[in-house]
Amino acid sequence: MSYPIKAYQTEKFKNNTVGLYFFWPLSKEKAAEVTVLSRMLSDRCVAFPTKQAMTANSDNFYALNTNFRTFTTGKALCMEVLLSALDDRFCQEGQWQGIFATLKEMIFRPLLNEEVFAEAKRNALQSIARRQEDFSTYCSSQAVKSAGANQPLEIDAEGEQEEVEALSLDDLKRVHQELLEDTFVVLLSTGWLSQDQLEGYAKEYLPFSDHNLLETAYCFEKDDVTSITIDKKTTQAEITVLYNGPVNVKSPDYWALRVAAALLGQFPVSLLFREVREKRSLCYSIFSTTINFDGVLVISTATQKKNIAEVLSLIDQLVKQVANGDFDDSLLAIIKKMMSDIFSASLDRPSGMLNLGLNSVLTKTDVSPEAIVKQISKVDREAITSVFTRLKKIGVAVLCDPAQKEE
Amino acid sequence: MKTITHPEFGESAIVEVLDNGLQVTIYHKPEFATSCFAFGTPYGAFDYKQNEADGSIFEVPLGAAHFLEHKLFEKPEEDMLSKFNSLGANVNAFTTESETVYFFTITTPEYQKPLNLLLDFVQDLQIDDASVEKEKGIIVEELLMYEQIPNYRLYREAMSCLFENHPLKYDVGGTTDSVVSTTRKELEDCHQRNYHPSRMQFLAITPCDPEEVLQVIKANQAKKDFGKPITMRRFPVIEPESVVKKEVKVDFDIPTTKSALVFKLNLPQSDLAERERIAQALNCALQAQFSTLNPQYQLWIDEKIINEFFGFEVNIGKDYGYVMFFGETADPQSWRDFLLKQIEEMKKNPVDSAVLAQLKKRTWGNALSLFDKPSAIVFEILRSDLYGLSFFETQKITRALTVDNCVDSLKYVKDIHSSLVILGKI
Repeated sequence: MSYPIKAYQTEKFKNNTVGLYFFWPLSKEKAAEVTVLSRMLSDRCVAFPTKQAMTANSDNFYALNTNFRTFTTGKALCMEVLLSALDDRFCQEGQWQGIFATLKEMIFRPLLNEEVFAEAKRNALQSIARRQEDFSTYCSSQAVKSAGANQPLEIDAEGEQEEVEALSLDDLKRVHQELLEDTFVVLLSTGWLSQDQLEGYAKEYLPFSDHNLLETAYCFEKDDVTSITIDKKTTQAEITVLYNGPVNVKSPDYWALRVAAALLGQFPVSLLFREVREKRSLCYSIFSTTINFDGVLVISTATQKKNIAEVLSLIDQLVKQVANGDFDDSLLAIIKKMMSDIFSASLDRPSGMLNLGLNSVLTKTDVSPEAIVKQISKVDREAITSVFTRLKKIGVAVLCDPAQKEE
Repeated sequence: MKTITHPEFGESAIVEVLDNGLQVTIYHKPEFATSCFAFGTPYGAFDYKQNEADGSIFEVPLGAAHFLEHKLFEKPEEDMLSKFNSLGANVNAFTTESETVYFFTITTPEYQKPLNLLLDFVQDLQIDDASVEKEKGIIVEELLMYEQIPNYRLYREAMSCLFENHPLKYDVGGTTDSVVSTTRKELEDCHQRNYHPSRMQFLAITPCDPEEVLQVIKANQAKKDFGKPITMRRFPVIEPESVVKKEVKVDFDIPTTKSALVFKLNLPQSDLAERERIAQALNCALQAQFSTLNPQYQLWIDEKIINEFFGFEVNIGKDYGYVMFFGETADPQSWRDFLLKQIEEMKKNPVDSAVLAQLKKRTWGNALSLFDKPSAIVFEILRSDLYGLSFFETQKITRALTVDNCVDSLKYVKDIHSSLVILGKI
């Protein structure tokens, strides 16, 4: 057994947090299968055949927190199983032995029957329907889907209605077998667990075989702009603008893009916040972020319908401003310091440590906070203008109420 | 200066009340890189109407506490958000119904400048009419943003149905009209009356030497003269036992109708500990019935009475209390009848002592886990201290909770004091 296993040992937390990750090649069908499977695995299993038994078992470990979720990393789909609970020394001897035994039951002996399947499928469909409720997220996801058509970016990790509805129990049994036998698996932990302990638990409870690392990061290919308008009865208009790098997490100028995106809109000191919110009172929140494995930059905000054109124009103007290198040295220095601090602070959060660890496995690079801080420090004005000059706008989505008057 | 230890948590803090009345509490966490410093006042949205010592009434527009929070960040020479960023610190703030808290985090040992900055900017309001006018647009956008979040709207409508006079019926940020009508003078008066250090508390979690941190705070405060504190009390609310509306339907563009069944809890006058005991007991009783602890829960899912959106919340404050159930259902009236029937059955069947023990174990695990998150510790402990009942006191109440407490708490949940809110396409 030689799949990637890494314990980030620290005594700063009372909890241990364990992340178990399964990877598949991304497709719409797979996203639907895996999202329903994750719901079935987390619901019940042979050893704990009811929700009541599962809850009692979790409470027996002093509030064991178990979370399943699916997400994409470029061309790959990941199912993450995250467990968090007090270390043995803060509660009871054998606590984590028991938790790993529970994890084994959930992963290897789930209840794959019609009853559990029907509930999981129903919940997945309801969750898909609920996506439309958060107008901000919905606007962004529609922007990504329309601009990212026929590329991995368009696929939602939680699946779509059509693919979920088409699933059968046999599909779930098949994808469960894939999980056990054919997926690329990673096991990480933070807390008191040592590397030896984690490897020991893996050997006893999680005997997966090694598989080749899947292809993940890619560079998005698109030259034109896809613009869409979404009609919703709402008091505020949502705006999402997408740009293509083309720079992903493995590109040499990846950190230049990250710093440039932060300069544009990650912090209160960033240009979008200063110009759109503080100077003109056009919005409450505005930010830019990167989709790291797809090489895409996203800008999101909300404003009143009458201000849509002005906000879109300001976004264009500020992106050009960064591309032209029209920003202060002092601002760049502040942004780099803020980013460095954020990565340093990630060592104080179990999820932050696990994210860095997973990225390290997927990119086969050193993504320790020290290494990242070093990369950030190297980014200069020239690198930023170089990466932003190559940016291409690829999508604009506006969600608003067609009946609302622009008063 | 004294040291307070919490051996059951393995945590300790130094505490000192400064000459100007400010209480400072500092937890030392040497293994963390992050420091979190928070400065709070027990002045929130509920305090838009207050009594002064002579009995006179001080009233400002709804949302003034939240507006003031926004404006404190702005100084003529430089915006505070930028200034903190330039010092390598991340600053933010929040206003709730009962308090306003300003805080920053930093991962380097150079905390002194941002710490002084936090103390200075919160204690020194510098605004002009133009800056107040400019802020109104931003706050209105914030209110509109919340208004279109369905779960938040469901909660707001539920509070409006329950409360006739209590300010819970209003948004923390006020209304568009109240924000637009707020003046510079009103914000200055709010600040003068409610930000005296003797009313406020300071709390820090830091890997740096806590005594040095304390000295920085003391030196900063010693340079300032705040005058005598003005005694301010929240204007007492007289709230009828009955609800405002038994049922309301709200047109909202969502694919699935959401409903809330909400109960006004008419509790007797009692101290904060007793109110907390009732809140915890009620929460345990409802957990036993309306969660996966109950074997019937699966049946309700299978029969599509509830789905994974279903849940409830118990909230009891100094002068209010409510229980809110929320769910997605095509038949809200039948859903309400189902819940009312379950609650009546609960009153006949006491909570199982084994289930209560299980819930206590869960609560203890969650309480200990809180200390893994520097910001969470600060907010939980500071907010409970500002409220007047410490986080550690609430843990003692949990440990002492009995089955009888749980059974007794249910007597406050009455059908006649309930409202049904339906949110969806009409």
